[in-house]
Amino acid sequence: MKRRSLNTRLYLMYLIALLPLLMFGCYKNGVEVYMKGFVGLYGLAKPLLLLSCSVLGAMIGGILREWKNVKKFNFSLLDKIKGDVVEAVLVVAILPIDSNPLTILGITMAFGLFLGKVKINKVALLYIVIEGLNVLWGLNNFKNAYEINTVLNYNGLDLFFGSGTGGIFSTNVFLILLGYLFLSYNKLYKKEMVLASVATFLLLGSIPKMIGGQYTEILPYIFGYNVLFVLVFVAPNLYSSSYTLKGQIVSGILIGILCFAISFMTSYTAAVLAVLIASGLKGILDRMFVIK
Amino acid sequence: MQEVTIKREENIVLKEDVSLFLNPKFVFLPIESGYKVKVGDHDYVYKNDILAQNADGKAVYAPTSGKVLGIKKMNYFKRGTRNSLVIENDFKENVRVKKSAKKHINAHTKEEFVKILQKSSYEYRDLDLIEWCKKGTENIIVNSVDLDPNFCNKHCTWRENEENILETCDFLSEIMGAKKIHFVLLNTDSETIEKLTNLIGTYPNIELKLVSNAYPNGMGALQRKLLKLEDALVLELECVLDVFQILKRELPITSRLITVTGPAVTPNAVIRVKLGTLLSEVFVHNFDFTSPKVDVYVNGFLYGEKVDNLKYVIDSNIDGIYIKEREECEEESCLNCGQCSRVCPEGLNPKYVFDHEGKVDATYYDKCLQCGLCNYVCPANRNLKQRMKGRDES
Repeated sequence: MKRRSLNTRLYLMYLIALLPLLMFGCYKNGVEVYMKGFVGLYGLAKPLLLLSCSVLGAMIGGILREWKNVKKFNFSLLDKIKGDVVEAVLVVAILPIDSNPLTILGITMAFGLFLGKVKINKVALLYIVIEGLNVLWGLNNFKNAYEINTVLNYNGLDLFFGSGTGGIFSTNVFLILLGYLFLSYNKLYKKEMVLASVATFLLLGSIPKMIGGQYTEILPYIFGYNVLFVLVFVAPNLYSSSYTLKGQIVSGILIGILCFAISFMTSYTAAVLAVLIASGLKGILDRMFVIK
Repeated sequence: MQEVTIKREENIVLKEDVSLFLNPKFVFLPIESGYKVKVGDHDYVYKNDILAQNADGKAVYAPTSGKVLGIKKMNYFKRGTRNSLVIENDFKENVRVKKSAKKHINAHTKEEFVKILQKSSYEYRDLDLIEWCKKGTENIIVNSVDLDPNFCNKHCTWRENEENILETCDFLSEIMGAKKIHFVLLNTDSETIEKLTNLIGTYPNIELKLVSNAYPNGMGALQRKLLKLEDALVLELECVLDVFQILKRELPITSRLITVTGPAVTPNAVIRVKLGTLLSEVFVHNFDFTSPKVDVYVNGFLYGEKVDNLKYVIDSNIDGIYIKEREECEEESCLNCGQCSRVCPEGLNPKYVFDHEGKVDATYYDKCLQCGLCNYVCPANRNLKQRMKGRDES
């Protein structure tokens, strides 16, 4: 009678929703670029390599963290690190294809080991740290070799089906929206928060472009640069987002506003920073709406 | 508030007819402080004899004839341990004076009704019917919705006593000066709706109110809110029938219906039992467990409470028993999903109370209906309901 495994199911649903995006990312940033002759075998395998490093790092970190409690390799140990694995997939999805696999491996492992129970959005924090190191080492190019060498002249439909620039696995708007619909079936998924953030960002993002008469620029602005992916998959994190319905909606609006404001300074990191700030404020938001 | 519909479990098939268990070997009658016991050990008592009485004239009646064995401490659900008078049943149901039943109950005046109620010492949980009679009310809500989706007490009560219940409702509205009697039913209970629609033609002050099949719409306190009748008197259907019985025979109530159900018990049935019977005796004679290890919930899986044994005396606080196979489930850390606060019918926030124990205002706890919906939806198996009981009890 009692529903037990809703959260396990949510994580599984996350992985299922991400699978088409992962496949598309592997095609766009690996297979396609390889077939056009811009990269070699390493380039072909790089999206998958980065994904593997992230997941492996998170698993090792998580297992080391939980080992003192479980002390044997069993299902319960895997159950305890399921969140780390999903977060590892999410973070690699929004990182640039230029990223260093070893950096990802090391940072995800360290996060898994030492920051397992961090109260702010872990994916956003992971991203900031890895991307910070990428910038330090000059490896933060979000365009793959083919995109760099090609004149980017996509229309709205191309962008909708994933030709825009963004993270390794985060560009296909169509698949992201499908993922949103799929995740909405799970009661634990904070769909209202996503709706509020996307609607706010859409609204704010559209106004200046429309005033300037630059209608064609609306779509890449709205859907590019990791924004939609972060709002759909990263922002509604179970632990680091508001739990009251009103808190979620206010939090979503806040993320939309912050994302819009920060995007004037940095495009790719805007959504992540907005989510990170909003997750830091979740305690205040919840307290505002908690007692009648 | 997000509505939650909890359907009756598919593998549970309740027996259509009400079973009877009115011949327990022993009955136990709580003797509260202030009551003076009027019988001695080994005395023979007749059914409906006064066994104890307090200064206000409230009495404890013998629900059966038999021999008084003495006083023993017994467990009562929600009331804890009480000194109880033990009577060994002689299975003869001997009475001192045979009383004939009244033909019509509505011949009684208000004063007579109050007098009869006082004499019968009728008690139904926290309800003070005499007080309500004295002050009167404009609206009466008759709750005909079983709180637990697996229970069937009200449905059975209604099915066997349709005319009597309506007659009593009519009488009560007259006595209390009520303009309307709101009969609350589930909008999915088409059988009862049809019957009642045909019957209420002769009772213009009785109105049907349909509520959705969502939990906990069967809770009287919530029905006041749903119908926007905050000052209304809420009567459970069983209580209306009890009033009918009292008026008809001018005798105390000696039995009640309880539902015994769940995937780990057979048969699943509604059973009429004598008040004061030990729950374990009802089980020994009428039911079998289908699993060696079971969890027992008095008053249902959601609203009720898990108990360690069946050594509870049946009184008006017990509506039914839900039994399921024992499951070992650990409380996990909170997932921060917010489901508990979304489903709470009172708009409370159980997670907040859980996280800030000792810092929440005491009045906040009073708002909790103890419906158990937060426990039901919590994916981390946290016992939020227990925490919402209040700081002292948690």
